[in-house]
Amino acid sequence: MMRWLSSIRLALARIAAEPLASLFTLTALASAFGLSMTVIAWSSNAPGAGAHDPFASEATLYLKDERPTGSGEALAKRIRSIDGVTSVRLLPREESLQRLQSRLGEGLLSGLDGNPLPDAVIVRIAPELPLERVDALISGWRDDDIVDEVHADRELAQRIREIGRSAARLAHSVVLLLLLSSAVVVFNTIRLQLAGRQHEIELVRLLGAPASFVRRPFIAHGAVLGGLGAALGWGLSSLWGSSVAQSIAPLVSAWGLPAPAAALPTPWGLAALIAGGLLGGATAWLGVARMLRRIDAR
Amino acid sequence: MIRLERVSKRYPGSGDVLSDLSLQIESGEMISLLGASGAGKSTLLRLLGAIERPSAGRVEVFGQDTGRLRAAELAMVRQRIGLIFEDYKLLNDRSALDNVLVPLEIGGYAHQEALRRARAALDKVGLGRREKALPVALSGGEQQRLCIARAVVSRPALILADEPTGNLDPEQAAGIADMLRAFHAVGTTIVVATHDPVFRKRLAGRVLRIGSGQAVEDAAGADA
Repeated sequence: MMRWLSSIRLALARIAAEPLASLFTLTALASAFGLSMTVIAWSSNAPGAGAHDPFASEATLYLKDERPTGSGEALAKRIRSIDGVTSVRLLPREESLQRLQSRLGEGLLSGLDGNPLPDAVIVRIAPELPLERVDALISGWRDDDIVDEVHADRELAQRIREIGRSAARLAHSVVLLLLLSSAVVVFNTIRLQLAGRQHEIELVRLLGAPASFVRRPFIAHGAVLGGLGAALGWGLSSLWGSSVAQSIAPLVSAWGLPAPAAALPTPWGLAALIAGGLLGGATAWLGVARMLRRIDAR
Repeated sequence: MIRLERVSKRYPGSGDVLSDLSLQIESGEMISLLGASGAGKSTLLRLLGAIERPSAGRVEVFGQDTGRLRAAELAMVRQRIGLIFEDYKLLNDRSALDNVLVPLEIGGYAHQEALRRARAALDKVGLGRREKALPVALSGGEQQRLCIARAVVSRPALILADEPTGNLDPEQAAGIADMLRAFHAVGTTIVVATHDPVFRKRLAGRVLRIGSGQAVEDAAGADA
């Protein structure tokens, strides 16, 4: 443990001793990690990527004209008792017509014989309800004897959901590429370090240094670079995220959607730091292993 | 301590450098390896130092067959051997003290104890006042003494020296010989490859002449 601590201290000293090179390396790493974290944070807001689908939160059940008296109220009561249903309102056909008239104007509907609109039940569903459950509810209502039609904008919701899922898939690919590029940055930095210290490595191997003795400082260096890069990236991601979140806040509230996650939550951020360190350490390990194989083969 | 049984060593694209060589070196011996350039002295030292494995035969160092050891075990064997190189192989960006500290860091010594031992080793080779000097600031003789300090600092049971006076004038060579004799006097086994008869004579001890891939006892050399 003390040897690792000492190696980490030496790695920090090396990074500080080459400020310009370290600045470039850390900027590249912070950008890659920051973009990854931003993409992860924002892709969790995409419709269909999370646990809920805000576009499926309201359903209109149009009732048949020929139905037993009071069956509409009974259906509304039944729906009200379902977990995940936030509000239910029975909309009589007269009120529907009134609304239509107020929207379109009296003149347009004056030629109609009576009221062509059916009674309807407007159901609001909690956004947290899983999509499968929403689909099951709508399907059940559609099969009800007194329900003529259910309108839930499923096609639009489905399309938006698909777009959201594709965006999430794309985001994951982008994250993978960014992490790969971070690994390449660390690998190249360590490779340069190894090349600069090849004589020293060959000598300590001659003097009986085990592979772990040679590997330790480089793995520590890679891990410190990865951890620092992830920490700076987290900071950048939080800055970008909060600035974008502020600018779209009015739009989000107009849609009645929950506020989007602006940045990675703290536990995720801390996990990202550890992951950054592990990625850096593992990449460095690969670099040293390659060189040791080459030296030992001679 | 060291036993070679019918050892051959060849490199890709060349014939046998050593051929069917058998040899035994007891603990506490002082051995001089004589022979022309290319005779195989350095190859033999690399085999003894567990730096290379034989192409055929068996090399036993400290009772262990180096041809069968895994990399980690070979490293452990090497830690018990002090190596002195003709070209010194010093770390030029580190001070004399830091150079001597390297084997102690490998051996896992606590920092304070390592410092104490490294300074003692530098004192022993007469470089106590130059611990902060970089190798490039030292003369050839001083660099070789620094190399010796690094070789002896972890008190190895075996010291292997490859042409330790190749780049030194006779006076400096005599100083190195006296130093090696001093370490031999306290029980360290020493094997020195040299083509310098004056240096060999000053070392005394057993002489092996390497030629045509073989080693033969050289009674005349020993008496000289």
